[in-house]
Amino acid sequence: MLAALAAVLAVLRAQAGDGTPPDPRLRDQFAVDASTLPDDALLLKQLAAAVELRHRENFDRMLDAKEPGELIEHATLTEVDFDHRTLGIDTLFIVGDELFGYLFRPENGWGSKDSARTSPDQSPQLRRVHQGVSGGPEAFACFSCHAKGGPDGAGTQSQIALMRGDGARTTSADRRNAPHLLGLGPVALLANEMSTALRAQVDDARRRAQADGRPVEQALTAKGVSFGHVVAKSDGTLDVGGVDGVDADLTVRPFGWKGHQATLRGMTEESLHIHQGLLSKRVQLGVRDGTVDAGPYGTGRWDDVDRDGVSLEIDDGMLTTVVGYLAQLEAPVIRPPRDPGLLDAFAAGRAQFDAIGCAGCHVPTLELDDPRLDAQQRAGAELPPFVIDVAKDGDGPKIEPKYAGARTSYLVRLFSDLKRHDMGPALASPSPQGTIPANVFLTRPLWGLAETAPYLHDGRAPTIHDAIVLHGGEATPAREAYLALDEPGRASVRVFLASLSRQPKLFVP
Amino acid sequence: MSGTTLRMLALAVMVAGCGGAADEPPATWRADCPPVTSAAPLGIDAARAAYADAERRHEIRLREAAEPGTFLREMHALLPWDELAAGRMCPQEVADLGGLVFEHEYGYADGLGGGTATSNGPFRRVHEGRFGGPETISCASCHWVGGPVGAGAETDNAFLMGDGERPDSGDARNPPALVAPGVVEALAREMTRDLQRQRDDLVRAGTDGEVRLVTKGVDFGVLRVTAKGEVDVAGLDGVDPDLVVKPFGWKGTLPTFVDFSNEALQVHLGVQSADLLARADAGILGAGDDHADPDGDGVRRELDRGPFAAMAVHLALLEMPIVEPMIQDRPLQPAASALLAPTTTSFAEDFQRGRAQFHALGCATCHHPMMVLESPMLAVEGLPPIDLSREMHQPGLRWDAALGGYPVWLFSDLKRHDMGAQNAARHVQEGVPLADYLTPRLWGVADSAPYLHDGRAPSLDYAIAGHDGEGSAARAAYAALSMHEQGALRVYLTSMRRAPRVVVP
Repeated sequence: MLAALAAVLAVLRAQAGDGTPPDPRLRDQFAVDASTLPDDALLLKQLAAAVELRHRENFDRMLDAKEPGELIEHATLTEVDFDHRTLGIDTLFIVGDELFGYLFRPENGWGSKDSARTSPDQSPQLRRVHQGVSGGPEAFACFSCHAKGGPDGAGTQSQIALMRGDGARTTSADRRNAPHLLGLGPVALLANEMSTALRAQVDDARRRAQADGRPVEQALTAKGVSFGHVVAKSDGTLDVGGVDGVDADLTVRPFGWKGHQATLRGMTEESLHIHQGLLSKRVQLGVRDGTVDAGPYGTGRWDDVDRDGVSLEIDDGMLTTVVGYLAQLEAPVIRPPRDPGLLDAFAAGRAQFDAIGCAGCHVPTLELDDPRLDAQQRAGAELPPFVIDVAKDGDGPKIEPKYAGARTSYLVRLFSDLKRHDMGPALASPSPQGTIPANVFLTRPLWGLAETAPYLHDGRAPTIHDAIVLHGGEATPAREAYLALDEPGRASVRVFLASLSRQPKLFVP
Repeated sequence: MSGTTLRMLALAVMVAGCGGAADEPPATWRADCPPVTSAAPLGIDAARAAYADAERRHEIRLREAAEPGTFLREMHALLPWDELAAGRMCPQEVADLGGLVFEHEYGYADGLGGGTATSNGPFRRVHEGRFGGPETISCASCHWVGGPVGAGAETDNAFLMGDGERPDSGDARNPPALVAPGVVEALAREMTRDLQRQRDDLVRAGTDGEVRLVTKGVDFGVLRVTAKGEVDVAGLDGVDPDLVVKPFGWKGTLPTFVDFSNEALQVHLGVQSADLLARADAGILGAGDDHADPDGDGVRRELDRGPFAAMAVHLALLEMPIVEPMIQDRPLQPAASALLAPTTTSFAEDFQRGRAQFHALGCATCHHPMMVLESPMLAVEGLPPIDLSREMHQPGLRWDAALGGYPVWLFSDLKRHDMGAQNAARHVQEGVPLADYLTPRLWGVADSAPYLHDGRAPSLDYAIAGHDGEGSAARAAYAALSMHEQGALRVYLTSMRRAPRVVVP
């Protein structure tokens, strides 16, 4: 196909300027093909649902226009609601969706003393470059940076977050490209199962060391991914010098480009704070009790730490709602090409992906044992769990069961080992992030990649090719192997990667 | 710039404008184009088309992955300028391909960025002078709120004419929704024609005199002429001395959306169109030696006239928004367990009161609700004139016999106003004073939050409160209303929305 196209192009170039109309074969490349459409019954059902959703959103918007506050009310489930009402899993999805698209206003606690104003007479002040760990705010809504390629998608290059800067200069900041949010429920659960496995291996080594009265070296492996080793001493202490790609506490943290957050709840709480200036009740109470350092949050009293005149900004119930919402989002899918020539390239590319070593870190599939996620996710919480089944609840497509029948594990085709790696000095961030060195990043899951250009943690790579060749450090051999392929070989890898996409869905925006 | 210099400049522009415009008699589009079919916007055919579009987009992306640069090369081959200019293609077909150009994500092979690309990538979030960023890879990247070709979020703000580093050094600009730019340009052209005709009539009279310049119900101040033919533009209001109504850009600096697109491609993507190469200076293009590659990125003639014109046709045919009171008369189930079902509610009464307030408070003075377009013919980018009433997407232009033209509910006077110190820009843009802005068109406003030129207003209340200068009286009048009446005005504004349409992202 590619060769045929090249021939067409050659003819066209030769003809350029002499007024000959373009070759119809080339035009066919851009014809719309209706052969793979969903059938009419399904289409009509989707259409009706999309139209009704639009209608409901218009209605809510109109209510809020009439009486401001209606929208945030519809986007809020408080802890009290979780206590007293019979909320369904679907409730979290619907309310979470509203919250995700809501533009927070100063009267909702958006911003801090410097940025927000509580009356509409004074304008909210956006701060595009973050000021240290206290953040922007540069956004009013979650969807302001998560909409590319569809709802809950990635951010574009213009939406780049400029983190941990001096509040003024883009060059002072650590740039972060907002990733898409699909499939995060399975990822959170995978990480948790991996952490549990690693800790069990350590506990086992400890027991043996104490029983045998001599040091025991224990290799750490979770879901087939090696995390180095520990040495358990007979006195019960642990030498973690050999641990690789995970923190010394052996908690796999799958969120953030550097893998610094373990839970959806933590990620959500942090994002609301640094991008929108919204403080959680947990932070407030922590400041009151002295268990949370107020530093990043502000200098005010515990009941309004960020001194914006709003006391309760993000209720615990709201965090639970967002977690429950994210856990119910669809999983990305692979959409192979339809063009026969490209389909061959796709198949070859899948094989090359393994052969040249991409799959060493971008592990195609991790297996999830238990798909149940507690949206409460709070240590020591007294509330009963609110369980989401990430293989079943909410939007499809879902991760696929490995076996038919009730007892099964699930295949999560995320293309990541959820482990941190040294990516070399060229990709390094301006400084370490907490304890994570400047040149270390989590293997970015590649599922859903097609709709997320530009690529890499700071979006510096406009195309897939650029992203591959910018890999350094531990990924250098894979990059070299890619570059050593002939052009059709390299193209096949790119075609395969560009097929990592999401299910097309119908919306009335 | 002093008033005198401005005036002299104006005359120079006038002369240039008269001399340069006439090329050759316009061609016409071929006569055998298939009839324009417009599927019901929320019908199954529209849904099928949206799915098919998504499939095509995916396939194009895969081809581009296989061979970067393929897409634009193919567009150049499919859209030869001489074919387009001679009208040998059909507007719908051209617009279809132009839509693909609009959403194309540019890479280095396409000429993305300038010669400044480093191993850290080609991007620069804050513009450096007039040369720009680039800060992104596609048009669609900053035009998505409320659906395709929509507005930008606050995070998408461009920082124009900065120092390349500090957002505060530039002018924050929130990307506006690209709503029916063809219709807007057609209106502006008619206004320009009217204003210039009034001036020319006065000059021709050959006596001392003055004229109040009014077109489509909008007053642009007074123009004075002496018997010797000297033109005094000191009394003009909200328009440049050349009397060209410039409806594009927050400051109203560009007369056509083609100019706007040329500039946007360069400053936001670093992609240099043939038009821009031919007309612009080194300040915006870059000072490279190669006249076909002044940004020095090794790609010559990045976007030729054909594909660019196709994109312009795509934009010209974009639909108009709607103004529609919401009546929720359907019994609906609760959206989920434990939630209340939407009540049946009519907002028609609020809508009526809100509309009355819109006029009573003075909003309608600048946000001029409706203009009548006389002719639906628009010549874009040197192409044969397009009949917008026939070709554009629905809702489109509808002839109104009583008005003797096509009513356009745009809610703007297409005129510049002093918006006060609170809104003052940092840099003078094209000679427009710091505090002056074009009245933004409110059509579709409900789908374009956040608001104001710098996107600092997350809701309508903040947007209204951000009015200063000439807008401060209306703002104060709004603030003095009861909660109830304020609500009605917001309901009216929220009724101005994009026409619903089916999209598969």
